[in-house]
Amino acid sequence: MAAGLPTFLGVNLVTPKGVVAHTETDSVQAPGELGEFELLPGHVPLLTSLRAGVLTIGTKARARYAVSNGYLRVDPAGAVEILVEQAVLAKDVDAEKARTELKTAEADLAKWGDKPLDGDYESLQQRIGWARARIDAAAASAAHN
Amino acid sequence: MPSLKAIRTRITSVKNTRKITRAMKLVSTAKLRRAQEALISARPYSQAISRVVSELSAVAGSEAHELFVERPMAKAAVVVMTSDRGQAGAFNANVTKAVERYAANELSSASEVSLRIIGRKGNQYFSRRQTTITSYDGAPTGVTALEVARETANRIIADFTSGKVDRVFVVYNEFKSAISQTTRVKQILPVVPEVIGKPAAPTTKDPHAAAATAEQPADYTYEPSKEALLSRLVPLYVQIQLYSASLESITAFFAAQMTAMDAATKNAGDMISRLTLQYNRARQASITKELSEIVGGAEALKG
Repeated sequence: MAAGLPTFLGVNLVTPKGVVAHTETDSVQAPGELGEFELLPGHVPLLTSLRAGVLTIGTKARARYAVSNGYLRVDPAGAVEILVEQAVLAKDVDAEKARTELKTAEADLAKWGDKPLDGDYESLQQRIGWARARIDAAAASAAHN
Repeated sequence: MPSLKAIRTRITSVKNTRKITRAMKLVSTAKLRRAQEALISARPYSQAISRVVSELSAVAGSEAHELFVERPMAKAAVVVMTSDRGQAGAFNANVTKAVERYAANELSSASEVSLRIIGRKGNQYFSRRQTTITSYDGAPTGVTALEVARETANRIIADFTSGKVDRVFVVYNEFKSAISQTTRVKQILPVVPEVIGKPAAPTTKDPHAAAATAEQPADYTYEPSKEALLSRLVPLYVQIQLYSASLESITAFFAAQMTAMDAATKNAGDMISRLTLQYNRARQASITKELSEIVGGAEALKG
Protein backbone atom coordinates (compact mmCIF):
# COMPACT_ATOMS: atom_id res chain seq x y z
CA MET A 1 0.00 0.00 0.00
CA ALA A 2 1.64 3.16 -1.27
CA ALA A 3 -0.08 5.48 1.16
CA GLY A 4 1.51 3.73 4.15
CA LEU A 5 -0.43 1.98 6.82
CA PRO A 6 -4.10 2.75 6.82
CA THR A 7 -5.36 4.39 9.97
CA PHE A 8 -8.86 3.02 10.01
CA LEU A 9 -10.83 -0.12 9.33
CA GLY A 10 -13.86 -0.20 7.07
CA VAL A 11 -16.22 -2.57 8.80
CA ASN A 12 -19.26 -4.23 7.33
CA LEU A 13 -21.42 -6.26 9.75
CA VAL A 14 -23.92 -8.39 7.88
CA THR A 15 -26.65 -10.79 9.01
CA PRO A 16 -29.34 -12.60 7.00
CA LYS A 17 -31.75 -9.88 8.13
CA GLY A 18 -29.64 -7.23 6.41
CA VAL A 19 -26.59 -5.04 6.89
CA VAL A 20 -26.41 -4.16 10.60
CA ALA A 21 -23.46 -1.77 10.57
CA HIS A 22 -21.34 -0.20 7.88
CA THR A 23 -18.78 2.11 9.49
CA GLU A 24 -15.16 3.18 9.68
CA THR A 25 -13.44 2.55 12.98
CA ASP A 26 -10.03 2.17 14.64
CA SER A 27 -10.41 -1.30 16.12
CA VAL A 28 -12.58 -4.38 16.26
CA GLN A 29 -12.73 -6.84 19.16
CA ALA A 30 -14.27 -10.12 18.14
CA PRO A 31 -15.01 -13.48 19.75
CA GLY A 32 -12.83 -15.76 17.61
CA GLU A 33 -13.07 -19.50 17.50
CA LEU A 34 -9.73 -19.77 19.30
CA GLY A 35 -10.38 -16.89 21.68
CA GLU A 36 -11.10 -13.20 21.86
CA PHE A 37 -8.93 -11.05 19.60
CA GLU A 38 -8.48 -7.44 18.62
CA LEU A 39 -8.06 -6.25 15.09
CA LEU A 40 -6.24 -3.02 14.25
CA PRO A 41 -5.84 -1.11 10.97
CA GLY A 42 -3.33 -2.59 8.53
CA HIS A 43 -4.00 -6.20 9.47
CA VAL A 44 -2.86 -8.89 7.04
CA PRO A 45 -5.60 -10.65 5.06
CA LEU A 46 -7.37 -13.02 7.42
CA LEU A 47 -10.27 -15.37 7.47
CA THR A 48 -11.39 -16.65 10.83
CA SER A 49 -14.53 -18.14 12.29
CA LEU A 50 -16.41 -16.53 15.14
CA ARG A 51 -18.33 -18.15 17.94
CA ALA A 52 -21.25 -16.59 19.75
CA GLY A 53 -20.09 -13.74 21.96
CA VAL A 54 -19.62 -10.00 22.23
CA LEU A 55 -18.32 -7.97 19.31
CA THR A 56 -17.03 -4.45 19.96
CA ILE A 57 -16.42 -1.97 17.18
CA GLY A 58 -14.19 1.02 18.03
CA THR A 59 -12.21 2.00 21.14
CA LYS A 60 -13.66 5.43 21.89
CA ALA A 61 -17.07 5.53 20.32
CA ARG A 62 -17.95 1.97 21.04
CA ALA A 63 -20.68 -0.02 19.41
CA ARG A 64 -21.15 -3.29 21.22
CA TYR A 65 -23.08 -6.18 19.70
CA ALA A 66 -24.14 -9.62 20.79
CA VAL A 67 -23.33 -11.90 17.87
CA SER A 68 -23.82 -15.58 17.11
CA ASN A 69 -21.51 -17.75 15.03
CA GLY A 70 -20.14 -16.61 11.70
CA TYR A 71 -16.85 -15.42 10.28
CA LEU A 72 -14.62 -12.38 10.06
CA ARG A 73 -12.63 -11.66 6.93
CA VAL A 74 -10.03 -9.00 6.29
CA ASP A 75 -9.42 -8.64 2.58
CA PRO A 76 -6.12 -7.45 1.04
CA ALA A 77 -7.55 -3.92 0.74
CA GLY A 78 -8.05 -3.87 4.49
CA ALA A 79 -11.84 -3.96 4.49
CA VAL A 80 -13.35 -6.03 7.27
CA GLU A 81 -16.35 -8.17 6.51
CA ILE A 82 -18.10 -9.70 9.51
CA LEU A 83 -20.82 -12.19 8.75
CA VAL A 84 -22.83 -13.53 11.64
CA GLU A 85 -26.07 -15.39 11.75
CA GLN A 86 -27.56 -13.03 14.32
CA ALA A 87 -26.47 -9.70 15.74
CA VAL A 88 -28.13 -7.25 18.09
CA LEU A 89 -26.90 -4.01 19.65
CA ALA A 90 -25.98 -4.64 23.29
CA LYS A 91 -28.23 -1.86 24.55
CA ASP A 92 -31.18 -3.34 22.66
CA VAL A 93 -30.73 -6.76 24.27
CA ASP A 94 -33.64 -7.98 26.32
CA ALA A 95 -31.49 -9.58 29.03
CA GLU A 96 -34.51 -10.89 30.92
CA LYS A 97 -35.75 -12.73 27.86
CA ALA A 98 -32.26 -14.08 27.13
CA ARG A 99 -32.02 -15.41 30.69
CA THR A 100 -35.38 -17.16 30.39
CA GLU A 101 -34.33 -18.68 27.07
CA LEU A 102 -31.04 -19.82 28.60
CA LYS A 103 -32.89 -21.43 31.50
CA THR A 104 -35.30 -23.37 29.27
CA ALA A 105 -32.49 -24.42 26.93
CA GLU A 106 -30.33 -25.61 29.83
CA ALA A 107 -33.27 -27.50 31.28
CA ASP A 108 -33.72 -29.19 27.90
CA LEU A 109 -30.01 -30.00 27.85
CA ALA A 110 -30.19 -31.55 31.33
CA LYS A 111 -33.06 -33.74 30.17
CA TRP A 112 -31.17 -34.85 27.07
CA GLY A 113 -29.65 -37.91 28.80
CA ASP A 114 -28.49 -40.50 26.28
CA LYS A 115 -30.59 -39.37 23.35
CA PRO A 116 -28.44 -39.22 20.20
CA LEU A 117 -26.39 -36.05 19.78
CA ASP A 118 -28.09 -35.17 16.49
CA GLY A 119 -29.04 -31.98 14.70
CA ASP A 120 -31.53 -30.97 17.38
CA TYR A 121 -28.74 -31.20 19.96
CA GLU A 122 -26.64 -28.87 17.82
CA SER A 123 -29.57 -26.42 17.59
CA LEU A 124 -29.90 -26.51 21.36
CA GLN A 125 -26.19 -25.77 21.82
CA GLN A 126 -26.49 -22.84 19.43
CA ARG A 127 -29.51 -21.51 21.34
CA ILE A 128 -27.51 -21.64 24.58
CA GLY A 129 -24.55 -19.89 22.95
CA TRP A 130 -26.73 -17.12 21.57
CA ALA A 131 -28.53 -16.60 24.91
CA ARG A 132 -25.16 -16.39 26.74
CA ALA A 133 -23.80 -13.96 24.15
CA ARG A 134 -26.76 -11.64 24.69
CA ILE A 135 -26.48 -11.82 28.50
CA ASP A 136 -22.73 -11.07 28.29
CA ALA A 137 -23.29 -8.18 25.90
CA ALA A 138 -25.95 -6.67 28.13
CA ALA A 139 -23.68 -7.03 31.17
CA ALA A 140 -20.68 -5.49 29.38
CA SER A 141 -22.81 -2.64 28.15
CA ALA A 142 -24.13 -1.99 31.70
CA ALA A 143 -20.60 -2.10 33.18
CA HIS A 144 -19.12 0.44 30.73
CA ASN A 145 -21.85 3.01 30.52
CA MET B 1 -87.56 -19.05 -9.55
CA PRO B 2 -86.40 -18.27 -5.97
CA SER B 3 -88.42 -15.75 -4.00
CA LEU B 4 -87.45 -12.09 -3.90
CA LYS B 5 -86.43 -12.39 -0.27
CA ALA B 6 -84.17 -15.38 -0.98
CA ILE B 7 -82.36 -13.48 -3.73
CA ARG B 8 -81.96 -10.43 -1.50
CA THR B 9 -80.38 -12.54 1.26
CA ARG B 10 -78.06 -14.12 -1.28
CA ILE B 11 -76.93 -10.72 -2.55
CA THR B 12 -76.18 -9.52 0.98
CA SER B 13 -74.18 -12.65 1.70
CA VAL B 14 -72.12 -12.37 -1.49
CA LYS B 15 -71.50 -8.71 -0.72
CA ASN B 16 -70.14 -9.69 2.68
CA THR B 17 -67.91 -12.30 1.07
CA ARG B 18 -66.61 -9.68 -1.29
CA LYS B 19 -65.78 -7.41 1.62
CA ILE B 20 -63.80 -10.22 3.25
CA THR B 21 -61.86 -11.20 0.13
CA ARG B 22 -61.10 -7.57 -0.62
CA ALA B 23 -59.76 -7.07 2.91
CA MET B 24 -57.67 -10.24 2.63
CA LYS B 25 -56.25 -9.01 -0.64
CA LEU B 26 -55.19 -5.75 0.98
CA VAL B 27 -53.62 -7.60 3.89
CA SER B 28 -51.63 -9.92 1.65
CA THR B 29 -50.50 -6.99 -0.49
CA ALA B 30 -49.08 -5.30 2.59
CA LYS B 31 -47.47 -8.51 3.81
CA LEU B 32 -46.07 -9.18 0.37
CA ARG B 33 -44.23 -5.89 0.44
CA ARG B 34 -42.66 -6.71 3.80
CA ALA B 35 -41.72 -10.21 2.67
CA GLN B 36 -40.06 -8.80 -0.45
CA GLU B 37 -37.98 -6.47 1.71
CA ALA B 38 -36.80 -9.42 3.83
CA LEU B 39 -35.90 -11.24 0.64
CA ILE B 40 -33.75 -8.34 -0.52
CA SER B 41 -32.14 -7.88 2.92
CA ALA B 42 -30.92 -11.48 2.88
CA ARG B 43 -29.00 -11.04 -0.35
CA PRO B 44 -25.72 -9.44 0.85
CA TYR B 45 -25.29 -12.19 3.45
CA SER B 46 -26.06 -14.99 1.07
CA GLN B 47 -23.74 -13.61 -1.62
CA ALA B 48 -20.89 -13.10 0.85
CA ILE B 49 -21.11 -16.56 2.33
CA SER B 50 -21.32 -18.19 -1.11
CA ARG B 51 -18.21 -16.28 -2.13
CA VAL B 52 -16.25 -17.26 0.97
CA VAL B 53 -17.29 -20.91 0.82
CA SER B 54 -16.33 -21.15 -2.85
CA GLU B 55 -12.98 -19.41 -2.25
CA LEU B 56 -12.25 -21.67 0.68
CA SER B 57 -13.15 -24.83 -1.17
CA ALA B 58 -10.99 -23.64 -4.08
CA VAL B 59 -7.92 -23.48 -1.85
CA ALA B 60 -8.76 -26.47 0.33
CA GLY B 61 -9.94 -28.74 -2.49
CA SER B 62 -13.51 -29.74 -3.23
CA GLU B 63 -13.25 -32.98 -1.25
CA ALA B 64 -12.08 -31.10 1.81
CA HIS B 65 -15.42 -31.25 3.54
CA GLU B 66 -17.75 -34.16 4.05
CA LEU B 67 -20.78 -32.09 3.00
CA PHE B 68 -19.26 -31.77 -0.50
CA VAL B 69 -18.78 -35.48 -1.04
CA GLU B 70 -21.17 -37.15 -3.45
CA ARG B 71 -22.29 -40.67 -2.58
CA PRO B 72 -24.38 -43.12 -4.59
CA MET B 73 -27.98 -42.22 -3.88
CA ALA B 74 -29.69 -44.88 -1.81
CA LYS B 75 -31.75 -42.73 0.49
CA ALA B 76 -33.03 -39.28 -0.35
CA ALA B 77 -34.73 -36.67 1.78
CA VAL B 78 -36.92 -33.83 0.61
CA VAL B 79 -37.62 -30.66 2.55
CA VAL B 80 -41.14 -29.65 1.56
CA MET B 81 -42.02 -26.00 2.01
CA THR B 82 -45.72 -25.27 2.13
CA SER B 83 -47.89 -22.82 4.04
CA ASP B 84 -50.10 -23.14 7.09
CA ARG B 85 -53.06 -21.48 5.45
CA GLY B 86 -54.82 -21.91 2.15
CA GLN B 87 -56.77 -19.38 0.12
CA ALA B 88 -53.79 -18.98 -2.14
CA GLY B 89 -54.86 -20.82 -5.27
CA ALA B 90 -52.66 -23.73 -6.29
CA PHE B 91 -49.75 -22.61 -4.09
CA ASN B 92 -49.56 -25.76 -1.95
CA ALA B 93 -50.86 -28.16 -4.60
CA ASN B 94 -47.98 -27.10 -6.87
CA VAL B 95 -45.44 -28.04 -4.23
CA THR B 96 -47.00 -31.37 -3.24
CA LYS B 97 -47.40 -32.31 -6.91
CA ALA B 98 -43.79 -31.39 -7.66
CA VAL B 99 -42.60 -33.51 -4.73
CA GLU B 100 -44.56 -36.53 -5.94
CA ARG B 101 -43.41 -36.07 -9.51
CA TYR B 102 -39.78 -35.68 -8.46
CA ALA B 103 -39.95 -38.72 -6.19
CA ALA B 104 -41.48 -40.81 -8.98
CA ASN B 105 -39.04 -39.74 -11.70
CA GLU B 106 -35.68 -38.32 -10.65
CA LEU B 107 -35.63 -40.12 -7.31
CA SER B 108 -36.95 -43.46 -8.60
CA SER B 109 -33.48 -45.00 -8.11
CA ALA B 110 -33.54 -44.16 -4.40
CA SER B 111 -34.66 -47.00 -2.18
CA GLU B 112 -36.26 -44.65 0.26
CA VAL B 113 -37.53 -41.10 0.10
CA SER B 114 -38.28 -39.39 3.38
CA LEU B 115 -39.90 -36.02 3.83
CA ARG B 116 -39.22 -33.18 6.19
CA ILE B 117 -42.32 -31.08 5.99
CA ILE B 118 -42.63 -27.40 6.76
CA GLY B 119 -46.16 -26.02 6.71
CA ARG B 120 -49.47 -27.49 7.84
CA LYS B 121 -50.89 -27.90 4.34
CA GLY B 122 -48.05 -30.16 3.23
CA ASN B 123 -48.45 -32.26 6.35
CA GLN B 124 -52.21 -32.63 5.79
CA TYR B 125 -51.59 -33.81 2.26
CA PHE B 126 -48.73 -36.25 2.86
CA SER B 127 -49.87 -37.70 6.18
CA ARG B 128 -52.85 -39.23 4.35
CA ARG B 129 -50.55 -40.92 1.84
CA GLN B 130 -47.94 -43.66 1.87
CA THR B 131 -44.95 -41.51 2.74
CA THR B 132 -42.26 -41.39 5.38
CA ILE B 133 -42.43 -38.11 7.25
CA THR B 134 -39.32 -37.57 9.37
CA SER B 135 -40.34 -34.24 10.82
CA TYR B 136 -43.03 -31.63 10.62
CA ASP B 137 -42.84 -27.96 11.58
CA GLY B 138 -45.33 -25.15 11.16
CA ALA B 139 -44.76 -22.72 8.33
CA PRO B 140 -42.28 -19.99 9.26
CA THR B 141 -43.12 -16.31 9.38
CA GLY B 142 -40.63 -13.57 8.65
CA VAL B 143 -39.65 -13.64 12.34
CA THR B 144 -39.22 -17.39 12.80
CA ALA B 145 -37.81 -18.21 9.35
CA LEU B 146 -34.19 -18.00 10.48
CA GLU B 147 -34.73 -20.31 13.42
CA VAL B 148 -36.68 -22.85 11.39
CA ALA B 149 -33.93 -22.75 8.75
CA ARG B 150 -31.24 -23.27 11.40
CA GLU B 151 -32.99 -26.22 12.98
CA THR B 152 -33.79 -27.84 9.66
CA ALA B 153 -30.21 -27.30 8.47
CA ASN B 154 -28.78 -28.89 11.62
CA ARG B 155 -31.09 -31.86 11.22
CA ILE B 156 -30.34 -32.56 7.58
CA ILE B 157 -26.61 -32.08 8.13
CA ALA B 158 -26.69 -34.60 10.98
CA ASP B 159 -28.71 -37.01 8.81
CA PHE B 160 -26.25 -36.61 5.97
CA THR B 161 -23.08 -37.01 8.01
CA SER B 162 -24.44 -40.02 9.88
CA GLY B 163 -25.33 -41.65 6.56
CA LYS B 164 -29.10 -41.67 7.12
CA VAL B 165 -29.58 -39.87 3.82
CA ASP B 166 -27.37 -39.44 0.76
CA ARG B 167 -29.11 -36.52 -0.92
CA VAL B 168 -31.24 -33.70 0.38
CA PHE B 169 -33.49 -31.58 -1.78
CA VAL B 170 -35.77 -28.70 -1.05
CA VAL B 171 -39.01 -28.07 -2.91
CA TYR B 172 -40.52 -24.61 -2.66
CA ASN B 173 -42.34 -21.89 -4.56
CA GLU B 174 -40.05 -19.25 -5.93
CA PHE B 175 -41.26 -15.68 -6.11
CA LYS B 176 -40.77 -14.33 -9.63
CA SER B 177 -43.26 -11.49 -9.58
CA ALA B 178 -46.52 -10.63 -7.89
CA ILE B 179 -48.41 -12.57 -10.54
CA SER B 180 -46.03 -15.43 -11.20
CA GLN B 181 -44.53 -18.05 -8.92
CA THR B 182 -42.68 -21.15 -10.00
CA THR B 183 -42.08 -24.35 -8.10
CA ARG B 184 -38.40 -25.13 -7.73
CA VAL B 185 -36.50 -28.25 -6.74
CA LYS B 186 -33.02 -27.57 -5.44
CA GLN B 187 -30.32 -29.88 -4.19
CA ILE B 188 -29.07 -28.85 -0.77
CA LEU B 189 -26.75 -31.72 0.17
CA PRO B 190 -24.18 -32.61 -0.90
CA VAL B 191 -23.45 -28.95 -1.58
CA VAL B 192 -23.91 -28.44 -5.31
CA PRO B 193 -20.90 -28.10 -7.61
CA GLU B 194 -21.76 -24.55 -8.74
CA VAL B 195 -20.37 -23.37 -5.42
CA ILE B 196 -17.42 -25.69 -5.17
CA GLY B 197 -14.09 -24.91 -6.70
CA LYS B 198 -14.88 -21.83 -8.73
CA PRO B 199 -15.08 -18.42 -7.13
CA ALA B 200 -18.40 -16.70 -7.60
CA ALA B 201 -18.55 -13.80 -10.01
CA PRO B 202 -17.40 -10.66 -8.23
CA THR B 203 -20.16 -8.22 -7.40
CA THR B 204 -19.85 -5.01 -9.35
CA LYS B 205 -20.69 -3.00 -6.25
CA ASP B 206 -17.57 -4.01 -4.41
CA PRO B 207 -14.33 -3.53 -6.37
CA HIS B 208 -12.20 -4.36 -3.32
CA ALA B 209 -13.77 -7.76 -3.06
CA ALA B 210 -13.17 -8.37 -6.75
CA ALA B 211 -9.50 -7.52 -6.35
CA ALA B 212 -9.34 -9.81 -3.35
CA THR B 213 -10.77 -12.69 -5.33
CA ALA B 214 -8.15 -12.18 -8.02
CA GLU B 215 -5.32 -12.25 -5.49
CA GLN B 216 -6.57 -15.45 -3.91
CA PRO B 217 -5.28 -17.63 -2.44
CA ALA B 218 -1.71 -16.52 -1.80
CA ASP B 219 -1.74 -14.20 1.18
CA TYR B 220 -4.58 -15.18 3.50
CA THR B 221 -4.15 -16.27 7.08
CA TYR B 222 -6.68 -18.92 8.01
CA GLU B 223 -7.66 -19.40 11.61
CA PRO B 224 -8.08 -22.13 12.73
CA SER B 225 -7.31 -24.23 9.60
CA LYS B 226 -8.98 -24.13 6.19
CA GLU B 227 -10.67 -27.43 6.93
CA ALA B 228 -11.92 -26.32 10.33
CA LEU B 229 -13.20 -23.11 8.81
CA LEU B 230 -15.08 -25.05 6.16
CA SER B 231 -16.72 -27.21 8.78
CA ARG B 232 -17.99 -24.03 10.48
CA LEU B 233 -19.02 -22.16 7.36
CA VAL B 234 -20.59 -24.85 5.20
CA PRO B 235 -23.41 -25.40 7.73
CA LEU B 236 -24.04 -21.65 7.66
CA TYR B 237 -24.17 -21.84 3.89
CA VAL B 238 -26.68 -24.71 4.02
CA GLN B 239 -28.73 -22.74 6.51
CA ILE B 240 -28.85 -19.63 4.35
CA GLN B 241 -29.93 -21.77 1.38
CA LEU B 242 -32.90 -22.98 3.41
CA TYR B 243 -33.53 -19.50 4.78
CA SER B 244 -33.63 -18.00 1.29
CA ALA B 245 -35.93 -20.79 0.14
CA SER B 246 -38.33 -20.15 2.99
CA LEU B 247 -38.30 -16.40 2.36
CA GLU B 248 -39.06 -17.11 -1.28
CA SER B 249 -41.85 -19.39 -0.16
CA ILE B 250 -43.32 -16.80 2.22
CA THR B 251 -43.19 -14.08 -0.44
CA ALA B 252 -44.65 -16.37 -3.10
CA PHE B 253 -47.42 -17.31 -0.70
CA PHE B 254 -48.56 -13.73 -0.20
CA ALA B 255 -48.32 -13.09 -3.93
CA ALA B 256 -50.43 -16.18 -4.64
CA GLN B 257 -52.90 -15.21 -1.96
CA MET B 258 -53.14 -11.70 -3.34
CA THR B 259 -53.89 -13.01 -6.83
CA ALA B 260 -56.39 -15.56 -5.53
CA MET B 261 -58.20 -12.98 -3.42
CA ASP B 262 -58.25 -10.52 -6.29
CA ALA B 263 -59.89 -13.15 -8.48
CA ALA B 264 -62.35 -13.99 -5.69
CA THR B 265 -63.28 -10.31 -5.30
CA LYS B 266 -63.91 -10.04 -9.05
CA ASN B 267 -65.98 -13.22 -9.07
CA ALA B 268 -68.06 -11.97 -6.17
CA GLY B 269 -68.68 -8.74 -8.12
CA ASP B 270 -69.81 -10.73 -11.16
CA MET B 271 -72.09 -12.83 -9.04
CA ILE B 272 -73.61 -9.74 -7.41
CA SER B 273 -74.48 -8.22 -10.80
CA ARG B 274 -75.96 -11.54 -11.97
CA LEU B 275 -78.06 -11.82 -8.83
CA THR B 276 -79.14 -8.18 -9.04
CA LEU B 277 -80.34 -8.78 -12.59
CA GLN B 278 -82.23 -11.85 -11.42
CA TYR B 279 -83.66 -9.86 -8.52
CA ASN B 280 -84.87 -7.05 -10.77
CA ARG B 281 -86.43 -9.52 -13.17
CA ALA B 282 -88.22 -11.27 -10.35
CA ARG B 283 -89.46 -7.95 -8.97
CA GLN B 284 -90.69 -6.86 -12.41
CA ALA B 285 -92.44 -10.19 -12.86
CA SER B 286 -94.24 -9.83 -9.56
CA ILE B 287 -95.31 -6.25 -10.39
CA THR B 288 -96.62 -7.36 -13.77
CA LYS B 289 -98.43 -10.22 -12.11
CA GLU B 290 -100.04 -7.95 -9.54
CA LEU B 291 -101.07 -5.45 -12.22
CA SER B 292 -102.63 -8.08 -14.40
CA GLU B 293 -104.49 -9.40 -11.37
CA ILE B 294 -105.88 -5.91 -10.65
CA VAL B 295 -106.81 -5.37 -14.28
CA GLY B 296 -108.38 -8.83 -14.40
CA GLY B 297 -110.35 -8.11 -11.22
CA ALA B 298 -111.61 -4.77 -12.58
CA GLU B 299 -112.65 -6.42 -15.82
CA ALA B 300 -114.57 -9.02 -13.87
CA LEU B 301 -116.39 -6.37 -11.79
CA LYS B 302 -117.33 -4.43 -14.93
CA GLY B 303 -118.87 -7.46 -16.53
